[in-house]
Amino acid sequence: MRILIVEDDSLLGPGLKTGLAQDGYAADWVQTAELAEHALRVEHFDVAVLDLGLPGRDGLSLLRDLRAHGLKLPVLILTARDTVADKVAGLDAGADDYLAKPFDLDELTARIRALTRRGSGHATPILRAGALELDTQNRCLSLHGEGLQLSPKEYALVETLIARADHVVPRARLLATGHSWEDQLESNALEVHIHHLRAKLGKQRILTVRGVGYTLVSNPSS
Amino acid sequence: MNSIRHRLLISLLVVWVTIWIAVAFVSVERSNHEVGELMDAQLAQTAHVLRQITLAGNLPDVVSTSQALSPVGHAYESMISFQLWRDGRLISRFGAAPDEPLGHAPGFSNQDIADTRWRVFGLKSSDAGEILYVGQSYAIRQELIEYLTLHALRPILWSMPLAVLLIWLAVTEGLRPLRRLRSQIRHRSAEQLDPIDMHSIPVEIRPLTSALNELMKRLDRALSAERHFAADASHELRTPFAAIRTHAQVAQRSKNSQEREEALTQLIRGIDRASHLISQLLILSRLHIRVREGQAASCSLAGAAAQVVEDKSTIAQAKNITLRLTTPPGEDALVDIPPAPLAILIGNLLDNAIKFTPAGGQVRVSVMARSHHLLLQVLDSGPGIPAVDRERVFDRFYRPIGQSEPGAGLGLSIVRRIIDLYDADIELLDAETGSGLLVEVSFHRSA
Repeated sequence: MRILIVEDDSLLGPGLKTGLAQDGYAADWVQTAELAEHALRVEHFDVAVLDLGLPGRDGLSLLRDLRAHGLKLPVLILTARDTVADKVAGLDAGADDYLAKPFDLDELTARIRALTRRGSGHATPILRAGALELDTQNRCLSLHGEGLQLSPKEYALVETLIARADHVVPRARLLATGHSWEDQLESNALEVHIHHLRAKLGKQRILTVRGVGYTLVSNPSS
Repeated sequence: MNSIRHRLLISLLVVWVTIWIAVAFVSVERSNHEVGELMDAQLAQTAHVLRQITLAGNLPDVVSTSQALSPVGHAYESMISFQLWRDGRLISRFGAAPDEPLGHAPGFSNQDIADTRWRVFGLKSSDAGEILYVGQSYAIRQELIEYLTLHALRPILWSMPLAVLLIWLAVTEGLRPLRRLRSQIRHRSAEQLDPIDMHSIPVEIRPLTSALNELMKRLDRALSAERHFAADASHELRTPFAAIRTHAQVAQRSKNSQEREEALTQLIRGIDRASHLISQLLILSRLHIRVREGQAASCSLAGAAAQVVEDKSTIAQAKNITLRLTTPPGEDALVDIPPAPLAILIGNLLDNAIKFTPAGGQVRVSVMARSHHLLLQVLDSGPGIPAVDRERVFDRFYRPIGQSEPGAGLGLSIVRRIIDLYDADIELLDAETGSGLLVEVSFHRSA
C-alpha cells in the first residue's frame, strides 16, 4: 500500500516515512501543496496523510482542490490545529479522518488501515477471496486456514490484488504498490515476485492478462 | 478622608454660613438704624402730643416718681418718660425721668444722667420759658432691638440642621452617576473589557470614563496578544513534539540497529529543536513584559557587535563562511539599549545571515557612525528575501515558502520586538552586489 505524506516539517516527515515503512507501507514524503498535487496527478497512492499548516498554500485549500477535481483517495489530516472548529473544517473540506499532533504511530497506521478498508468497500480488517484470507491488521495471509509466510513486497502485492479480486489489476499499479520513489521495482522484478507468490498460493490463483496486468482468482478451476 | 462628598459638604456649608453671617450682620445693622429712626420719630410724636395737652392745660402739675405702669399694655412698650420745665422749674414729670433736666436745648440729643444714657427730644412750648423733654433710656432701646433681631434670626438658625441635611442629600444625588459607574465597573469580570457605555455618563466624568475605556482597550489588546501568543506557542510546539514522539516510536519498534541509530539521532535533533523553540519563546515572552523604566542602560554598539561576532565565529567556520566585522575607527559610541537585548538582536540577525548563506559564502557586520544615530549592517551572500515577504518575515512563526532551513520562525520577531521596545529602526534591503540580504538597524545615540 502506498501512502503520500504531505508535511513541511523536515524532522517529522522522514520520521513518518520510516515509521510507516516499518509497518510495510511504502510512503513518499513531500513538503508543499504544489509537490503533493503533482505527485497525486502522476502516480497512484492509496492514502494521503496531510498536514494543514503548509508553507504557502494551505493544506485545506489543497484538499478542497483535490476533491473538486474528483480525487477520491482517502485523506487523513495530521495537524497541530486541534479545536473542534478545525476538525469540522477539515472533515467538511473532504478529509476522511483527522488526527492531532502529537500522535501515536500505531494509532496512525490503524487509522490508515481503516481508511483503505473502507475505501475498498470492506468493513473488517479481513479480506477474503475464496479460501484465501488476508488479515490486514496482523499482516498475515492464510489459505484454507493455514498461515503462509510472505515477504513485505509479496504482502503488498497480495493486498492490492485481493482488494480487487477477480478483476485485472494493471501492471503499473502493481509496480507502484508497496514501493516508494527510492525503491521502485525493476520491471522484471514484478514477475519474480508473482512467480514466488504462485509457488505459495498455487499456479491457477494468479492469472496473467497479457499486456495489461494480473488477476487474483477467488475460486481457481483446479 | 479624601472624599468628594465631604469636601463638597464642607465647602458648601462654609460658603453658606459665611454668606448667612454677612447677611445677618448687614440686616441687623440696617434694622438697628431703622428701629432707632422709628423710635426717634416716636419720641418726637409723643412730644408734640404732650405739648398739645399742655397747651390745653390738662397736664397735672407734678406726677409721682413711682408712677407704675398699667398692667394692660404691650411687651414692646417703649417706656417713654417726659419732663415739663417752666422757667427752670420742673413742673411735670412721667415715667422714669430723673429730677435733673433731661436735656438742655430743643431737638434730639443724648444725655448721660447718673448711670443711664438717655435719648432725648426737646420741644419749646408756645409759652416762652416752657420746655418739654421726652426721653427714653438707651437700655430699653437696645433691649427692644435685640429682641427684634433675635426673633428675625432665630428661624434661620433653626434651619441650619435642615440645610446640612438638604445639602447632604443634594451632594449624594449629585454623586449618583459616580456610584452607578463604580458599580458597573465593580460587577465586571476580569475578561469583560468592552468599553463602558458613554450614553448615560455626565459630562464631568466623561474624560475619566473615556480614559478608562482607553485603558481597557489597551488591556484587551495586550491580553489578546498574550492569548494569541500562548495559543501560537503551544501550536508551534506540537509539531516538534510529534516528530520527537514519532522518532522515539520508530526507534522502539526498530529491529534493525542502523535504523534505530538513525531514529535516535533524529530524536536528539528533535529535542534540540524543541528546546531552541522554547528558549526563543521564553526570550520573546520576557520581552513582552519588559518594563522600560529602571532598565535604562546603554552600551557600546561596536563592543556588543564584536562580542557576538566572536561567539558566532565557530558556527561560521563550520560552514566555511567568512565572517568579518568593521567598526568606526577611534569612536566608541553608546546606544540606549541594555547589553542583553542588544546581544540577542545582533545574535539573531547574525544567526539568520549564517544560516541562509551557502557554504563558502560571506557575512559582513559593519557598525557605522552617523551624526544623530548609529547604524548596524549585516550583509550576507545568501538568497535574500523577496520584497513580498519582507514585512511578513517579522511575524511570529512565519517561514517563507520553500525555506528548507530549520527554525522556529521567531528570530526576526524577537528582533522586531527589541527594535520596537528601544525605538530603533530596521530595514531589509537588497545587497548592492549579489543576491544577498542587507539588514540595516539604526539606533539612537545615547545622550
